[in-house]
Amino acid sequence: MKRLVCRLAASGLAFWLVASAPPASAADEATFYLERIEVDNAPPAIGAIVLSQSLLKEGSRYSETELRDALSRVRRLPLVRDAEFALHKGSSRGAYRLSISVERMSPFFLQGSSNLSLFNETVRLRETGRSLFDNSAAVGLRDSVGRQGMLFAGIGTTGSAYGELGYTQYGLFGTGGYAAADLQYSASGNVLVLPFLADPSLSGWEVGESFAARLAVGIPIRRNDSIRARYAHVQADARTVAPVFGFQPDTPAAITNGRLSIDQADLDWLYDTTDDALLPTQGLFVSAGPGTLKANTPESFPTVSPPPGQGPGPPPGPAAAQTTNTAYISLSATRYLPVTDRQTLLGSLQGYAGRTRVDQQPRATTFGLVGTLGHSMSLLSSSSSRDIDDLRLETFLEYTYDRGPPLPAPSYTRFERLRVGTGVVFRSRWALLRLGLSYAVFERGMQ
Amino acid sequence: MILAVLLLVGELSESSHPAVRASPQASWEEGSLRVRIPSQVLLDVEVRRVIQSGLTVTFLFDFAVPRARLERHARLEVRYEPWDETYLTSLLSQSQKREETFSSFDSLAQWWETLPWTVSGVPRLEGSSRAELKITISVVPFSANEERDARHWFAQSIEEPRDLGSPPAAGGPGAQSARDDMLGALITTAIKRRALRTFRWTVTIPEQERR
Repeated sequence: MKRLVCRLAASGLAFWLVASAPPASAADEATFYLERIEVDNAPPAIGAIVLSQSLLKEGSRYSETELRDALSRVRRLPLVRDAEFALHKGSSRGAYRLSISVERMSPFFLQGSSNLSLFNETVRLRETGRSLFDNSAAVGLRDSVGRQGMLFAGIGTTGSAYGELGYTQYGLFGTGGYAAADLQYSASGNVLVLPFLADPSLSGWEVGESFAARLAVGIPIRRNDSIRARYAHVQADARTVAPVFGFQPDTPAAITNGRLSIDQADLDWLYDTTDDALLPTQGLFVSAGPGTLKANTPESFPTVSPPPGQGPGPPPGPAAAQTTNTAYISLSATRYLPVTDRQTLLGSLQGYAGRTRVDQQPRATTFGLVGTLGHSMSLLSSSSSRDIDDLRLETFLEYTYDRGPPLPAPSYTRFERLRVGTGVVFRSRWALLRLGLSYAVFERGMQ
Repeated sequence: MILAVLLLVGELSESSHPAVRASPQASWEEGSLRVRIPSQVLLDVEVRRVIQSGLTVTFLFDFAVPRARLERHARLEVRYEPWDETYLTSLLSQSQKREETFSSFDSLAQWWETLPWTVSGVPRLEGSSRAELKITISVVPFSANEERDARHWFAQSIEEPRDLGSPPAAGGPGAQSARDDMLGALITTAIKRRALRTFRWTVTIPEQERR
């Protein structure tokens, strides 16, 4: 595993060296004085959103690089399928009129995914075994409301039914800022596996009703830089809990009686030059900033003790409720590098380092990283891809490492996962569908 | 290994062939292989539409002689200036760097058709079958032209342009100099972007006039 990690790191370094453009002067680039900016093919509310998110101002001068960045920002908007810029003569020589033509996404949307996950060992999730077939589907509506607002609502299923309602207000603070709120309610039947830092025992929690609320505020500070603050609260009524790994056929899940919850807040600086919010083919995305994660898990009562010496099953007595608090700093960078007309390589490195306190124990240093190498290929020819929607074959290799606080069994102090996968993604102005296959190898360590 | 296989499969499947009736013409002139490209590329409806946007459109030219393992690359930028109603061009290849302005689309198309693209360093190839020249033109709209800094660095690295048809700097038949390798790699890897249109041809290199 260590040798593989070294190779991944070396590949990643080579990727970044190839992908990084050398610095140079941009002194001779043409600039254009934009006397007027117009948005075509869009109702006034969407036109106002496009205009504010472009960050372009009438009466200012822009280079082609700045116009391209503005176009990328417009194309990343969830309600925009495609957009183009064109310059026309203004009222006096040297002045231009910029026309932004927008192709809208459909107000109706359909989302679906089917994934077959294979594992190197038996895992206990919604089903128990060395594979898991996961399906999800959702339908919904999204449209502009009021002045620069966008409302969306949807219902779906991920094994249990859920409903979601969200609202985004653009054009805040007079600078192209935005605020978004999202509420989600899910009926019973899901199995949740919390983030490693929230539950180092790597348990699968079967929950009843669950509720999630998310808030986000973003403020642009330069053409590709912005500051984003996020807060998310997730809570669920827990029913049973069982370890995901170390499966024992005779060990039933422990009974729980209480609520599990996660509160996460972060404040990030973002640098984004990607050309698409969902399926980027070029550009760089970087985020960095501090955050906090607080998780509460309820008390559990095992019904049967595992045979002695047979893995990390539930403890013999009741497992106490647990609270973990982590303050961390995270850094994430993803580079999308087009290598041919229809093929893109991606390299991504995400990491965090934090201090974690479990209940009243002393704080301990925790950290983790995720490295990904990927390849994406359009299955449509360049001549047809403007008329027919995106159809891509994606392949990835991902390595995850987490180091948790030093806790006694059944908690783990180290968790590693190597995953390789492939899939087909279809996107149109009203649908996003994914079909995937992956294989994962796990490694864990206890104190 | 997996990545190499994926890239190969991707390359083999990239077979978009918009209907372009005319073919490029290859001929030997003053000891060099020169190619003239039909103006249908410029006249393609979608290509002409993006040129008229007033923002820079880039044409990436890839020439390859597989039997000689030889590749040459070039780039042509075209921008329509609405106020003067002129077309500004900037041509950059491994052998030349020049800028010109045309007063109409017709004169641009005429220049395009007569412009000789030099594929330098094509060696004498022995054998019964004729050697083929593969030509690919990718039309990249301004929005996909990401690596502007890399382009400038590349442009500055050709401060001493060589004449059309000058021999390769070093190496035997079909060999490319390290400098050519580096510049070619820069054009194809740092500049090549998601294309709006891709045109491909395979033409036979005239045998009797090969050096």
